[in-house]
Amino acid sequence: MRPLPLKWRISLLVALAIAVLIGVVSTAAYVELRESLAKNVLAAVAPEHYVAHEMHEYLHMLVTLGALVTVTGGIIVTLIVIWALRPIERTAARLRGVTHRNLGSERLEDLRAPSELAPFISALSDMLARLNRVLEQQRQFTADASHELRTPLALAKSTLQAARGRDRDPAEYRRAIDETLGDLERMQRLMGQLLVLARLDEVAGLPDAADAPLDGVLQRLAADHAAAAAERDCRIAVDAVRPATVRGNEDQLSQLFSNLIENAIVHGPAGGTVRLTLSADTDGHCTVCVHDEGGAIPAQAIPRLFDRFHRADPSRSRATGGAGLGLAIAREIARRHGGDVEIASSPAAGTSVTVRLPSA
Amino acid sequence: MRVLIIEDEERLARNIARVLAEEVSYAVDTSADGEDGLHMAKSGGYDLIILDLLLPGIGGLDLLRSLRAAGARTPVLILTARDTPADIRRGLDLGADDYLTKPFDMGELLARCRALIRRAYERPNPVLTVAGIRINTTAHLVTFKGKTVLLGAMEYRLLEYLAMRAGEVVSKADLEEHLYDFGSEKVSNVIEVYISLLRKRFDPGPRHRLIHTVRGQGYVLGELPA
Repeated sequence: MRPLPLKWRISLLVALAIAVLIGVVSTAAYVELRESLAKNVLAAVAPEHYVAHEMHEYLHMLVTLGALVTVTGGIIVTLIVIWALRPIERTAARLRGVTHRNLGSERLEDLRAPSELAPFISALSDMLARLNRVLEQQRQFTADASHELRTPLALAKSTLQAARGRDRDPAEYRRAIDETLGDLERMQRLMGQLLVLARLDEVAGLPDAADAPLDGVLQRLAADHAAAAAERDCRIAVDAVRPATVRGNEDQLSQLFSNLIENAIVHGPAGGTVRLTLSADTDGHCTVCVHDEGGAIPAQAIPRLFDRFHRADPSRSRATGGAGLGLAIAREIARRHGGDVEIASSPAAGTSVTVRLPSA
Repeated sequence: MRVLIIEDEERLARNIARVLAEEVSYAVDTSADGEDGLHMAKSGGYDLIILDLLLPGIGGLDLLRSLRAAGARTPVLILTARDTPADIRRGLDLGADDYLTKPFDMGELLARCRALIRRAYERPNPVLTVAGIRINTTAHLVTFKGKTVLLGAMEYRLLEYLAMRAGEVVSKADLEEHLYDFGSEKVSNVIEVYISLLRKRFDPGPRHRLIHTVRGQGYVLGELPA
């Protein structure tokens, strides 16, 4: 059963209090009167039946008056309570009007509410602000994702429309087809990454956690990326790999290191070496470092590299083909596994991306 | 007509340039960089600028702002993947003349380009009629005395430009600026060659009445200004 509304609870309690109070006072007065009348009877000032009649009248009056005062008091208290609770109703009305559209502009602080409600309203206000931040991030993410998909789509469409305008020789058609296929691949890659992120965002913990042998994962990834590295005359070296195991999802971990290796191949110099090292630390962590000989990333730019859709080049030029999701995904996965990713870069030492994960 | 495309996706710029040259015989320059693009845009001579917003160097909106601050009247069409009403408002309010979002249809882009150029030359009618010559600027069809005349790309470009400015003296420098892109070789007497080709087609008599030469100033298509 639902608890009785506040206004009825207060009104009933007050009415009860009035009734009890009146009852006590009346009883006292009644007793007092009866005693003084009894003295009159004894003194034979009044006949006994007269006194009994008076007492009956008086009792009747007391009960009627008491009931009247109780009911009136109850009603007045109810009205006062309803009036006093209006700020709650006002707050509720405002909250009912909150949608995803006005979430950011809703300021509950300007509700003129009694100070007792202030903590309640400020908590609500904080909650709205938190929700708004999440919503804003989602909105930005959607806008970025749509921008990233539109560009290759525009390229593919314009390439085909330009080729279609006239009769061309077969070589030109072939080139248009190849270029369009490249655009489709870019879109496919991006959609794959968006899906990975969406799945990561959907589930809080680690699905299918098991013991994953990091050394094996790295060896396999080095082999998988050898062809891509060879295209840039790079090679992938796997150094100092001792057996190390972490508790986690092996698919996700592969994704993490795969993203880092791809970055190292693309951003390192052509003809360079991408070096993977794995070490088990004494404090129960293992550290994987993906190193390339690429130029320095400015220190102030490093924290932003992990933002979704962030790319070092503001023009988002497609020279490197990425959409700026690889590192965001990598960090998300590392954090899910209780670890983190760090980047250190200098012209002399090249760029190192270090992943620290708790050992199994 | 000469168009500048400022777009950092070089393939996209190339595709648009190709279609503009093939379908509407425009001379096209491209720039993949904001700073370079602004410099080219300010140098004048363009009848239209197609502008991307995310550019290396100077962003598209800043480029537009400084272009308008410098007093340039060239129509600007923003071509971008940013499609929110706020983006569109901002672009147009900064002085752009049109806004098209990616991905776009080439045919629509061409139609918008033609419309912007018509507006800039105050020729709302897409069919220009000068001294008996009818130029359908949409279909690129020229008819003279009821017969269709087939023109080469450069001849058409020259005739269309003279017709847009019919009744005005158009200097040779203007013609060179609006009909050639940076890539084309400028031979000093090439304009004269095309003028004489046009005269042979439309004006075969010894006393030319359609395309007049104003000594030391340039050419006039149609009636000579008083």
